[in-house]
Amino acid sequence: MTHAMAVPGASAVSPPESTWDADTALTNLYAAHWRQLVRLSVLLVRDVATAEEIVQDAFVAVHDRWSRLRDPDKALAYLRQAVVNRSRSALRHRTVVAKHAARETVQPNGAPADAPVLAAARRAAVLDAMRSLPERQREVLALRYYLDLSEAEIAEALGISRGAVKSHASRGSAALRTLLGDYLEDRS
Amino acid sequence: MNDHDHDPRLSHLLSDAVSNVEPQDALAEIRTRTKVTPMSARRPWLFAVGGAVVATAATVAAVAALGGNPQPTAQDPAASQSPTGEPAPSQASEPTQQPEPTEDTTPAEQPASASATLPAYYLRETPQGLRLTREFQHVDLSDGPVTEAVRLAVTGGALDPDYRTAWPAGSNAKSVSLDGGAITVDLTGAPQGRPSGMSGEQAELAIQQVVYTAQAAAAQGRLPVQLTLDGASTAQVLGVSTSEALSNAAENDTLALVSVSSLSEGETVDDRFTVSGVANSFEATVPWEVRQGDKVVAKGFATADGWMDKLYPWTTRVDVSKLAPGTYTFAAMTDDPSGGAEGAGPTEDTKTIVVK
Repeated sequence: MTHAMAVPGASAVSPPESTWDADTALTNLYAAHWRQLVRLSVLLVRDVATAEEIVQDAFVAVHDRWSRLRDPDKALAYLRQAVVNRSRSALRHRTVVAKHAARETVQPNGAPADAPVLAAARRAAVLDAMRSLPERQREVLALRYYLDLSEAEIAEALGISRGAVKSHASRGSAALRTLLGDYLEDRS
Repeated sequence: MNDHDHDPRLSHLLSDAVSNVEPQDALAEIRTRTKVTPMSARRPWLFAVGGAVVATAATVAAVAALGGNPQPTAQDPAASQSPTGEPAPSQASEPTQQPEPTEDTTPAEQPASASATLPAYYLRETPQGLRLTREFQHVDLSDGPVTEAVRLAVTGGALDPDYRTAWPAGSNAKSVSLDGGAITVDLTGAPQGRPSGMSGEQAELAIQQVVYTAQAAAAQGRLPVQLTLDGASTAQVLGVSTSEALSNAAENDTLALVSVSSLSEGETVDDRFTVSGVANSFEATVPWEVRQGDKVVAKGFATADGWMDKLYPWTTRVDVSKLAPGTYTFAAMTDDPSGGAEGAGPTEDTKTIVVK
Protein backbone atom coordinates (compact mmCIF):
# COMPACT_ATOMS: atom_id res chain seq x y z
CA MET A 1 0.00 0.00 0.00
CA THR A 2 1.31 3.41 -0.93
CA HIS A 3 -0.60 5.41 1.63
CA ALA A 4 1.99 5.93 4.31
CA MET A 5 1.16 7.99 7.32
CA ALA A 6 1.67 11.61 6.56
CA VAL A 7 1.66 13.38 9.86
CA PRO A 8 3.70 16.54 9.66
CA GLY A 9 6.46 16.48 12.18
CA ALA A 10 5.19 13.35 13.81
CA SER A 11 8.00 11.06 12.79
CA ALA A 12 10.59 12.92 14.77
CA VAL A 13 8.76 12.90 18.07
CA SER A 14 6.48 9.90 17.93
CA PRO A 15 7.56 6.44 18.94
CA PRO A 16 7.56 3.81 16.18
CA GLU A 17 4.13 3.13 14.79
CA SER A 18 4.05 -0.40 16.13
CA THR A 19 4.19 0.96 19.65
CA TRP A 20 1.34 3.43 19.22
CA ASP A 21 -1.43 2.93 21.67
CA ALA A 22 -5.01 3.24 20.46
CA ASP A 23 -5.26 6.92 21.39
CA THR A 24 -2.03 7.85 19.58
CA ALA A 25 -3.10 5.88 16.55
CA LEU A 26 -6.46 7.61 16.58
CA THR A 27 -4.87 11.06 16.76
CA ASN A 28 -2.43 10.36 13.94
CA LEU A 29 -4.95 8.65 11.70
CA TYR A 30 -7.37 11.49 12.28
CA ALA A 31 -4.78 14.11 11.38
CA ALA A 32 -3.86 12.32 8.20
CA HIS A 33 -7.20 11.09 6.93
CA TRP A 34 -10.20 12.78 8.53
CA ARG A 35 -10.86 15.31 5.79
CA GLN A 36 -10.21 12.92 2.93
CA LEU A 37 -12.47 10.22 4.37
CA VAL A 38 -15.30 12.70 4.95
CA ARG A 39 -14.95 13.80 1.36
CA LEU A 40 -14.98 10.18 0.24
CA SER A 41 -18.19 9.64 2.16
CA VAL A 42 -19.70 12.81 0.66
CA LEU A 43 -19.11 11.30 -2.78
CA LEU A 44 -21.12 8.29 -1.62
CA VAL A 45 -23.91 9.82 0.46
CA ARG A 46 -23.73 13.44 -0.65
CA ASP A 47 -24.82 14.99 2.63
CA VAL A 48 -21.89 16.43 4.58
CA ALA A 49 -23.38 16.07 8.06
CA THR A 50 -24.19 12.41 7.38
CA ALA A 51 -20.68 11.87 6.04
CA GLU A 52 -19.16 13.41 9.17
CA GLU A 53 -21.21 11.10 11.36
CA ILE A 54 -20.22 8.07 9.32
CA VAL A 55 -16.52 8.86 9.43
CA GLN A 56 -16.65 9.64 13.15
CA ASP A 57 -18.16 6.23 13.72
CA ALA A 58 -15.43 4.66 11.61
CA PHE A 59 -12.75 6.35 13.73
CA VAL A 60 -14.41 5.16 16.93
CA ALA A 61 -14.44 1.64 15.47
CA VAL A 62 -10.80 1.75 14.43
CA HIS A 63 -9.85 2.90 17.92
CA ASP A 64 -11.64 -0.17 19.29
CA ARG A 65 -9.74 -2.45 16.99
CA TRP A 66 -6.31 -0.93 17.23
CA SER A 67 -5.07 -3.78 19.43
CA ARG A 68 -5.80 -6.12 16.54
CA LEU A 69 -4.76 -3.84 13.69
CA ARG A 70 -1.53 -2.46 15.12
CA ASP A 71 -0.50 -1.09 11.77
CA PRO A 72 -1.37 2.26 10.18
CA ASP A 73 -1.80 0.77 6.72
CA LYS A 74 -4.15 -1.90 7.99
CA ALA A 75 -5.96 0.72 10.03
CA LEU A 76 -6.37 2.94 6.99
CA ALA A 77 -7.67 0.01 4.95
CA TYR A 78 -10.09 -0.72 7.77
CA LEU A 79 -11.19 2.92 7.92
CA ARG A 80 -11.88 3.01 4.20
CA GLN A 81 -13.84 -0.20 4.38
CA ALA A 82 -15.81 1.05 7.35
CA VAL A 83 -16.60 4.35 5.63
CA VAL A 84 -17.80 2.61 2.46
CA ASN A 85 -19.89 0.07 4.38
CA ARG A 86 -21.42 2.65 6.67
CA SER A 87 -22.14 5.00 3.80
CA ARG A 88 -23.93 2.15 2.07
CA SER A 89 -25.96 1.37 5.19
CA ALA A 90 -26.84 5.01 5.65
CA LEU A 91 -28.17 5.22 2.11
CA ARG A 92 -30.21 2.08 2.54
CA HIS A 93 -31.63 2.96 5.89
CA ARG A 94 -32.53 6.56 5.58
CA THR A 95 -33.20 9.04 2.92
CA VAL A 96 -30.26 11.31 3.12
CA VAL A 97 -31.54 14.83 2.94
CA ALA A 98 -29.46 17.17 0.86
CA LYS A 99 -28.39 19.61 3.50
CA HIS A 100 -25.09 20.14 1.79
CA ALA A 101 -25.96 23.61 0.54
CA ALA A 102 -25.69 25.04 4.04
CA ARG A 103 -22.05 24.06 4.21
CA GLU A 104 -20.89 25.49 0.88
CA THR A 105 -17.80 27.55 1.47
CA VAL A 106 -17.71 31.22 0.70
CA GLN A 107 -16.35 31.99 -2.72
CA PRO A 108 -13.11 33.93 -2.84
CA ASN A 109 -13.18 37.52 -4.03
CA GLY A 110 -11.97 38.36 -7.49
CA ALA A 111 -13.54 35.45 -9.34
CA PRO A 112 -15.75 36.25 -12.30
CA ALA A 113 -19.29 36.86 -11.18
CA ASP A 114 -20.69 33.69 -12.64
CA ALA A 115 -17.72 31.41 -11.89
CA PRO A 116 -18.88 30.41 -8.39
CA VAL A 117 -22.30 29.60 -9.73
CA LEU A 118 -20.83 27.44 -12.45
CA ALA A 119 -18.54 25.69 -10.00
CA ALA A 120 -21.39 25.02 -7.61
CA ALA A 121 -23.56 23.72 -10.44
CA ARG A 122 -20.76 21.46 -11.64
CA ARG A 123 -20.16 20.06 -8.16
CA ALA A 124 -23.85 19.44 -7.67
CA ALA A 125 -24.07 17.73 -11.04
CA VAL A 126 -21.17 15.42 -10.21
CA LEU A 127 -22.64 14.48 -6.83
CA ASP A 128 -26.06 13.95 -8.40
CA ALA A 129 -24.54 11.77 -11.09
CA MET A 130 -22.73 9.69 -8.48
CA ARG A 131 -25.94 9.23 -6.52
CA SER A 132 -27.71 8.04 -9.66
CA LEU A 133 -25.24 5.19 -10.23
CA PRO A 134 -25.74 1.69 -8.86
CA GLU A 135 -24.15 1.30 -5.42
CA ARG A 136 -21.13 -0.74 -6.47
CA GLN A 137 -20.28 1.44 -9.43
CA ARG A 138 -20.44 4.51 -7.24
CA GLU A 139 -18.16 2.91 -4.65
CA VAL A 140 -15.65 1.70 -7.20
CA LEU A 141 -15.50 5.09 -8.90
CA ALA A 142 -15.04 6.97 -5.62
CA LEU A 143 -12.21 4.70 -4.52
CA ARG A 144 -10.60 4.74 -7.92
CA TYR A 145 -10.93 8.32 -9.05
CA TYR A 146 -10.98 10.11 -5.73
CA LEU A 147 -8.67 8.00 -3.56
CA ASP A 148 -6.67 6.74 -6.51
CA LEU A 149 -6.64 3.20 -5.21
CA SER A 150 -5.38 0.31 -7.29
CA GLU A 151 -7.70 -2.37 -8.57
CA ALA A 152 -6.40 -4.76 -5.91
CA GLU A 153 -6.95 -2.24 -3.12
CA ILE A 154 -10.49 -1.56 -4.30
CA ALA A 155 -11.19 -5.29 -4.53
CA GLU A 156 -10.02 -5.69 -0.95
CA ALA A 157 -11.91 -2.69 0.37
CA LEU A 158 -15.19 -3.78 -1.19
CA GLY A 159 -14.73 -7.51 -0.77
CA ILE A 160 -15.29 -8.20 -4.44
CA SER A 161 -13.11 -9.74 -7.15
CA ARG A 162 -10.72 -7.72 -9.29
CA GLY A 163 -12.78 -8.71 -12.29
CA ALA A 164 -15.86 -7.21 -10.67
CA VAL A 165 -13.92 -4.03 -9.87
CA LYS A 166 -12.91 -3.79 -13.51
CA SER A 167 -16.43 -4.22 -14.80
CA HIS A 168 -18.01 -1.81 -12.28
CA ALA A 169 -15.30 0.74 -13.08
CA SER A 170 -15.82 0.44 -16.78
CA ARG A 171 -19.61 0.68 -16.65
CA GLY A 172 -19.55 3.40 -14.01
CA SER A 173 -17.02 5.50 -15.94
CA ALA A 174 -19.08 5.21 -19.08
CA ALA A 175 -22.25 6.21 -17.24
CA LEU A 176 -20.53 9.14 -15.57
CA ARG A 177 -19.08 10.36 -18.86
CA THR A 178 -22.56 10.29 -20.36
CA LEU A 179 -24.17 12.04 -17.40
CA LEU A 180 -21.45 14.67 -17.12
CA GLY A 181 -20.73 15.15 -20.80
CA ASP A 182 -21.34 18.88 -20.65
CA TYR A 183 -18.84 19.41 -17.90
CA LEU A 184 -16.23 17.16 -19.47
CA GLU A 185 -16.27 19.08 -22.73
CA ASP A 186 -16.66 22.56 -21.32
CA ARG A 187 -13.86 22.32 -18.86
CA SER A 188 -10.78 24.09 -20.11
CA MET B 1 -7.35 -1.49 -14.98
CA ASN B 2 -4.38 0.66 -14.33
CA ASP B 3 -4.14 3.04 -17.20
CA HIS B 4 -6.07 2.25 -20.30
CA ASP B 5 -9.42 3.07 -18.76
CA HIS B 6 -8.31 5.63 -16.23
CA ASP B 7 -9.93 8.89 -17.16
CA PRO B 8 -8.09 11.86 -15.63
CA ARG B 9 -11.07 14.09 -16.37
CA LEU B 10 -13.19 11.98 -14.01
CA SER B 11 -10.50 12.17 -11.34
CA HIS B 12 -10.57 15.91 -11.62
CA LEU B 13 -14.37 16.14 -11.55
CA LEU B 14 -14.70 13.91 -8.48
CA SER B 15 -11.94 15.67 -6.57
CA ASP B 16 -13.38 19.02 -7.51
CA ALA B 17 -16.87 17.98 -6.48
CA VAL B 18 -15.80 17.63 -2.85
CA SER B 19 -12.96 20.14 -2.82
CA ASN B 20 -15.08 22.66 -0.93
CA VAL B 21 -16.10 20.20 1.76
CA GLU B 22 -14.35 21.25 4.95
CA PRO B 23 -15.58 18.93 7.66
CA GLN B 24 -15.88 20.32 11.14
CA ASP B 25 -13.19 19.22 13.52
CA ALA B 26 -14.42 16.14 15.33
CA LEU B 27 -11.37 14.80 17.11
CA ALA B 28 -12.61 15.96 20.48
CA GLU B 29 -15.96 14.31 19.97
CA ILE B 30 -14.37 11.08 18.74
CA ARG B 31 -12.08 11.10 21.78
CA THR B 32 -15.08 11.54 24.06
CA ARG B 33 -16.70 8.55 22.44
CA THR B 34 -13.62 6.36 22.69
CA LYS B 35 -12.84 7.34 26.25
CA VAL B 36 -14.23 4.41 28.15
CA THR B 37 -13.69 4.49 31.84
CA PRO B 38 -11.90 1.36 32.91
CA MET B 39 -13.91 -0.46 35.47
CA SER B 40 -13.00 -3.46 37.49
CA ALA B 41 -13.87 -5.24 40.63
CA ARG B 42 -10.77 -3.72 42.15
CA ARG B 43 -12.02 -0.19 41.66
CA PRO B 44 -15.19 1.03 43.24
CA TRP B 45 -17.63 1.54 40.45
CA LEU B 46 -18.85 4.77 41.93
CA PHE B 47 -15.83 6.58 40.57
CA ALA B 48 -16.53 5.30 37.13
CA VAL B 49 -20.02 6.61 36.72
CA GLY B 50 -18.96 10.16 35.98
CA GLY B 51 -16.74 9.00 33.18
CA ALA B 52 -19.24 6.82 31.47
CA VAL B 53 -19.56 7.49 27.82
CA VAL B 54 -22.53 9.48 26.70
CA ALA B 55 -23.12 8.41 23.16
CA THR B 56 -24.66 11.49 21.67
CA ALA B 57 -24.10 10.49 18.10
CA ALA B 58 -25.32 6.97 17.78
CA THR B 59 -24.09 5.40 14.61
CA VAL B 60 -26.22 5.91 11.58
CA ALA B 61 -26.36 2.21 11.01
CA ALA B 62 -27.22 1.38 14.57
CA VAL B 63 -29.96 3.93 14.77
CA ALA B 64 -31.44 2.73 11.57
CA ALA B 65 -31.16 -0.93 12.36
CA LEU B 66 -32.02 -0.80 16.00
CA GLY B 67 -34.04 2.34 16.40
CA GLY B 68 -37.27 2.84 18.23
CA ASN B 69 -39.26 2.06 15.16
CA PRO B 70 -38.81 -1.22 13.38
CA GLN B 71 -36.45 -0.68 10.51
CA PRO B 72 -35.07 -2.61 7.59
CA THR B 73 -33.02 -5.17 9.39
CA ALA B 74 -34.46 -8.34 8.03
CA GLN B 75 -33.39 -7.89 4.47
CA ASP B 76 -30.26 -5.94 5.11
CA PRO B 77 -27.05 -7.87 4.50
CA ALA B 78 -25.17 -5.62 6.87
CA ALA B 79 -27.59 -6.36 9.65
CA SER B 80 -26.97 -10.04 9.27
CA GLN B 81 -23.30 -9.55 10.01
CA SER B 82 -23.76 -7.86 13.32
CA PRO B 83 -26.34 -5.57 14.76
CA THR B 84 -23.85 -2.74 15.08
CA GLY B 85 -22.93 -2.87 11.44
CA GLU B 86 -19.24 -3.12 12.17
CA PRO B 87 -17.26 -4.30 9.21
CA ALA B 88 -14.90 -7.15 9.86
CA PRO B 89 -11.52 -6.42 8.29
CA SER B 90 -10.48 -10.04 8.42
CA GLN B 91 -13.43 -11.03 6.29
CA ALA B 92 -12.98 -8.78 3.34
CA SER B 93 -14.88 -11.10 1.07
CA GLU B 94 -17.93 -11.29 3.28
CA PRO B 95 -20.02 -8.58 1.63
CA THR B 96 -20.13 -10.49 -1.63
CA GLN B 97 -21.39 -13.58 0.13
CA GLN B 98 -24.38 -11.77 1.45
CA PRO B 99 -27.47 -11.72 -0.70
CA GLU B 100 -27.95 -8.42 -2.44
CA PRO B 101 -31.63 -7.62 -2.23
CA THR B 102 -33.01 -6.22 -5.41
CA GLU B 103 -34.74 -2.95 -4.89
CA ASP B 104 -38.23 -3.93 -5.92
CA THR B 105 -38.48 -7.23 -4.13
CA THR B 106 -40.46 -7.17 -0.93
CA PRO B 107 -38.88 -9.09 1.92
CA ALA B 108 -41.69 -11.60 2.02
CA GLU B 109 -40.93 -12.65 -1.52
CA GLN B 110 -37.21 -12.95 -1.14
CA PRO B 111 -35.60 -16.24 -2.06
CA ALA B 112 -35.25 -18.56 0.86
CA SER B 113 -31.62 -19.47 0.42
CA ALA B 114 -30.16 -17.09 2.97
CA SER B 115 -29.91 -16.23 6.60
CA ALA B 116 -30.92 -12.99 8.20
CA THR B 117 -31.12 -11.19 11.50
CA LEU B 118 -34.80 -10.95 12.30
CA PRO B 119 -36.68 -8.91 14.87
CA ALA B 120 -39.40 -10.65 16.85
CA TYR B 121 -41.50 -9.48 19.78
CA TYR B 122 -42.09 -11.59 22.87
CA LEU B 123 -43.86 -11.36 26.18
CA ARG B 124 -41.98 -10.56 29.36
CA GLU B 125 -42.66 -9.58 32.93
CA THR B 126 -42.05 -5.96 33.90
CA PRO B 127 -43.02 -3.79 36.86
CA GLN B 128 -45.89 -2.55 34.67
CA GLY B 129 -47.11 -6.11 34.14
CA LEU B 130 -46.74 -8.15 30.97
CA ARG B 131 -45.17 -6.21 28.15
CA LEU B 132 -43.68 -6.95 24.75
CA THR B 133 -39.99 -6.74 24.03
CA ARG B 134 -37.99 -7.12 20.88
CA GLU B 135 -35.20 -9.59 20.28
CA PHE B 136 -32.99 -9.89 17.22
CA GLN B 137 -32.03 -13.38 16.20
CA HIS B 138 -29.89 -14.59 13.35
CA VAL B 139 -31.66 -17.47 11.63
CA ASP B 140 -31.33 -19.50 8.46
CA LEU B 141 -34.27 -18.74 6.26
CA SER B 142 -36.32 -21.52 4.78
CA ASP B 143 -39.07 -19.05 3.99
CA GLY B 144 -39.40 -15.29 3.61
CA PRO B 145 -37.93 -13.23 6.47
CA VAL B 146 -41.25 -11.73 7.56
CA THR B 147 -42.85 -15.16 7.72
CA GLU B 148 -39.87 -16.52 9.66
CA ALA B 149 -39.94 -13.60 12.09
CA VAL B 150 -43.66 -14.04 12.84
CA ARG B 151 -43.13 -17.78 13.31
CA LEU B 152 -40.37 -17.06 15.83
CA ALA B 153 -42.67 -14.74 17.75
CA VAL B 154 -45.73 -17.01 17.72
CA THR B 155 -43.86 -20.20 18.58
CA GLY B 156 -41.73 -18.47 21.20
CA GLY B 157 -38.30 -19.05 19.69
CA ALA B 158 -36.59 -16.41 21.81
CA LEU B 159 -32.97 -16.89 22.88
CA ASP B 160 -33.51 -14.92 26.08
CA PRO B 161 -35.00 -17.22 28.73
CA ASP B 162 -36.99 -14.30 30.17
CA TYR B 163 -38.95 -13.97 26.93
CA ARG B 164 -41.87 -16.12 25.88
CA THR B 165 -44.80 -16.18 23.53
CA ALA B 166 -48.35 -15.32 24.51
CA TRP B 167 -49.71 -17.77 21.95
CA PRO B 168 -51.06 -21.19 22.95
CA ALA B 169 -48.94 -24.18 21.92
CA GLY B 170 -49.71 -25.39 18.41
CA SER B 171 -50.25 -21.91 17.01
CA ASN B 172 -48.07 -20.91 14.11
CA ALA B 173 -47.87 -18.66 11.07
CA LYS B 174 -48.34 -20.39 7.73
CA SER B 175 -47.33 -17.46 5.61
CA VAL B 176 -47.01 -13.70 5.61
CA SER B 177 -47.54 -11.62 2.52
CA LEU B 178 -47.20 -7.95 1.75
CA ASP B 179 -49.67 -6.50 -0.64
CA GLY B 180 -51.09 -3.10 -1.35
CA GLY B 181 -49.77 -1.41 1.76
CA ALA B 182 -50.92 -4.08 4.16
CA ILE B 183 -49.41 -7.19 5.68
CA THR B 184 -51.49 -10.37 5.73
CA VAL B 185 -50.51 -12.95 8.32
CA ASP B 186 -52.07 -16.34 7.79
CA LEU B 187 -52.19 -18.25 11.06
CA THR B 188 -52.84 -21.88 11.75
CA GLY B 189 -53.58 -23.88 14.89
CA ALA B 190 -54.75 -20.80 16.75
CA PRO B 191 -58.13 -20.85 18.46
CA GLN B 192 -60.73 -18.30 17.37
CA GLY B 193 -62.06 -17.84 20.86
CA ARG B 194 -60.02 -16.93 23.90
CA PRO B 195 -58.73 -20.08 25.56
CA SER B 196 -59.64 -20.61 29.19
CA GLY B 197 -56.82 -19.47 31.38
CA MET B 198 -55.78 -16.68 29.02
CA SER B 199 -56.63 -13.16 30.13
CA GLY B 200 -58.00 -10.60 27.75
CA GLU B 201 -54.78 -8.65 28.25
CA GLN B 202 -52.68 -11.66 27.25
CA ALA B 203 -54.83 -12.21 24.18
CA GLU B 204 -54.34 -8.60 23.11
CA LEU B 205 -50.61 -8.91 23.69
CA ALA B 206 -50.51 -12.09 21.61
CA ILE B 207 -52.12 -10.25 18.72
CA GLN B 208 -49.75 -7.32 19.21
CA GLN B 209 -46.78 -9.72 19.16
CA VAL B 210 -47.78 -10.57 15.60
CA VAL B 211 -48.56 -6.97 14.62
CA TYR B 212 -45.28 -5.54 15.96
CA THR B 213 -43.19 -8.41 14.61
CA ALA B 214 -44.71 -8.31 11.14
CA GLN B 215 -44.30 -4.53 10.94
CA ALA B 216 -40.71 -4.70 12.16
CA ALA B 217 -39.68 -7.50 9.84
CA ALA B 218 -41.42 -6.00 6.82
CA ALA B 219 -39.59 -2.75 7.57
CA GLN B 220 -41.98 -0.59 5.62
CA GLY B 221 -43.33 1.49 8.44
CA ARG B 222 -46.44 0.84 10.47
CA LEU B 223 -48.44 -1.08 7.89
CA PRO B 224 -51.84 -2.43 8.91
CA VAL B 225 -51.81 -6.14 9.65
CA GLN B 226 -54.66 -8.40 8.54
CA LEU B 227 -54.92 -11.75 10.31
CA THR B 228 -56.39 -14.79 8.59
CA LEU B 229 -56.80 -18.33 9.84
CA ASP B 230 -55.88 -21.19 7.50
CA GLY B 231 -56.26 -18.94 4.50
CA ALA B 232 -59.71 -17.61 5.34
CA SER B 233 -60.74 -14.38 6.97
CA THR B 234 -61.88 -14.80 10.54
CA ALA B 235 -63.95 -12.62 12.83
CA GLN B 236 -61.82 -13.43 15.84
CA VAL B 237 -58.49 -14.88 16.86
CA LEU B 238 -57.99 -15.62 20.57
CA GLY B 239 -61.25 -13.77 21.12
CA VAL B 240 -59.85 -10.54 19.66
CA SER B 241 -61.71 -9.05 16.75
CA THR B 242 -59.75 -9.53 13.53
CA SER B 243 -62.38 -8.71 10.92
CA GLU B 244 -60.46 -5.58 10.03
CA ALA B 245 -56.76 -4.97 9.62
CA LEU B 246 -55.05 -4.20 12.90
CA SER B 247 -52.69 -1.42 13.84
CA ASN B 248 -50.02 -1.47 16.49
CA ALA B 249 -51.05 -0.48 20.00
CA ALA B 250 -49.32 2.50 21.62
CA GLU B 251 -45.70 1.73 22.50
CA ASN B 252 -45.89 3.06 26.04
CA ASP B 253 -48.79 0.75 26.87
CA THR B 254 -47.42 -2.29 25.07
CA LEU B 255 -43.65 -2.44 25.09
CA ALA B 256 -41.30 -3.02 27.98
CA LEU B 257 -39.76 0.37 28.68
CA VAL B 258 -36.20 -0.76 28.07
CA SER B 259 -34.68 -3.48 25.97
CA VAL B 260 -31.25 -4.46 24.73
CA SER B 261 -31.10 -5.00 20.99
CA SER B 262 -27.50 -5.63 20.09
CA LEU B 263 -26.56 -8.44 22.46
CA SER B 264 -27.65 -12.01 22.01
CA GLU B 265 -28.16 -14.14 25.09
CA GLY B 266 -24.84 -15.80 25.90
CA GLU B 267 -22.87 -13.73 23.40
CA THR B 268 -19.10 -13.51 23.72
CA VAL B 269 -18.15 -9.86 23.82
CA ASP B 270 -15.00 -7.93 22.94
CA ASP B 271 -13.00 -6.13 25.62
CA ARG B 272 -14.80 -3.01 24.57
CA PHE B 273 -18.15 -3.41 22.95
CA THR B 274 -20.94 -1.19 21.79
CA VAL B 275 -24.36 -2.06 23.04
CA SER B 276 -27.61 -0.54 21.91
CA GLY B 277 -31.29 -0.86 22.52
CA VAL B 278 -34.44 1.16 22.96
CA ALA B 279 -35.91 2.74 26.06
CA ASN B 280 -38.32 5.24 27.44
CA SER B 281 -36.60 6.23 30.63
CA PHE B 282 -36.67 9.30 32.86
CA GLU B 283 -34.73 12.15 31.24
CA ALA B 284 -33.53 9.72 28.56
CA THR B 285 -31.07 8.19 31.03
CA VAL B 286 -30.56 4.46 30.62
CA PRO B 287 -28.39 3.08 33.44
CA TRP B 288 -26.57 -0.17 32.76
CA GLU B 289 -24.67 -2.63 34.90
CA VAL B 290 -22.44 -5.61 34.37
CA ARG B 291 -23.06 -8.09 37.17
CA GLN B 292 -21.33 -11.18 38.37
CA GLY B 293 -23.92 -12.98 40.39
CA ASP B 294 -25.41 -10.21 42.52
CA LYS B 295 -22.27 -8.10 42.50
CA VAL B 296 -22.09 -5.09 40.20
CA VAL B 297 -18.64 -5.08 38.59
CA ALA B 298 -19.13 -2.28 36.06
CA LYS B 299 -21.70 0.42 35.72
CA GLY B 300 -22.55 3.41 33.62
CA PHE B 301 -25.37 4.93 31.69
CA ALA B 302 -26.47 5.54 28.14
CA THR B 303 -28.44 8.49 26.92
CA ALA B 304 -31.35 7.73 24.64
CA ASP B 305 -32.32 9.99 21.79
CA GLY B 306 -35.44 11.03 23.69
CA TRP B 307 -38.05 9.94 26.22
CA MET B 308 -41.69 10.29 27.27
CA ASP B 309 -43.88 9.71 24.22
CA LYS B 310 -42.33 6.46 23.00
CA LEU B 311 -39.20 4.34 23.09
CA TYR B 312 -36.03 5.89 21.71
CA PRO B 313 -32.78 4.27 20.64
CA TRP B 314 -29.75 4.36 22.90
CA THR B 315 -26.18 3.27 22.30
CA THR B 316 -23.27 3.09 24.67
CA ARG B 317 -19.85 1.58 24.96
CA VAL B 318 -18.89 -0.84 27.65
CA ASP B 319 -15.35 -1.68 28.71
CA VAL B 320 -14.91 -5.11 30.22
CA SER B 321 -11.19 -5.38 29.51
CA LYS B 322 -10.36 -5.40 33.21
CA LEU B 323 -12.79 -8.16 34.05
CA ALA B 324 -11.60 -11.71 34.50
CA PRO B 325 -12.81 -14.10 31.80
CA GLY B 326 -16.14 -15.60 32.70
CA THR B 327 -19.87 -15.29 32.44
CA TYR B 328 -21.55 -12.06 33.44
CA THR B 329 -24.94 -10.42 33.15
CA PHE B 330 -25.42 -7.17 31.30
CA ALA B 331 -28.48 -5.25 32.47
CA ALA B 332 -29.99 -2.12 30.96
CA MET B 333 -32.51 -0.33 33.14
CA THR B 334 -34.95 2.49 33.18
CA ASP B 335 -33.94 5.27 35.52
CA ASP B 336 -35.85 5.51 38.75
CA PRO B 337 -35.13 8.93 40.26
CA SER B 338 -37.20 8.08 43.32
CA GLY B 339 -34.92 5.17 44.15
CA GLY B 340 -37.89 2.86 44.32
CA ALA B 341 -39.85 5.10 46.66
CA GLU B 342 -42.50 5.81 44.04
CA GLY B 343 -44.04 3.85 41.27
CA ALA B 344 -43.29 0.34 40.25
CA GLY B 345 -39.50 0.59 40.22
CA PRO B 346 -37.17 0.26 37.27
CA THR B 347 -37.70 -2.05 34.35
CA GLU B 348 -34.62 -3.94 33.28
CA ASP B 349 -33.56 -6.18 30.44
CA THR B 350 -30.74 -8.60 31.10
CA LYS B 351 -28.46 -10.56 28.78
CA THR B 352 -25.88 -13.14 29.70
CA ILE B 353 -22.50 -12.20 28.24
CA VAL B 354 -19.23 -14.08 28.11
CA VAL B 355 -15.97 -12.19 28.62
CA LYS B 356 -12.99 -13.95 27.10
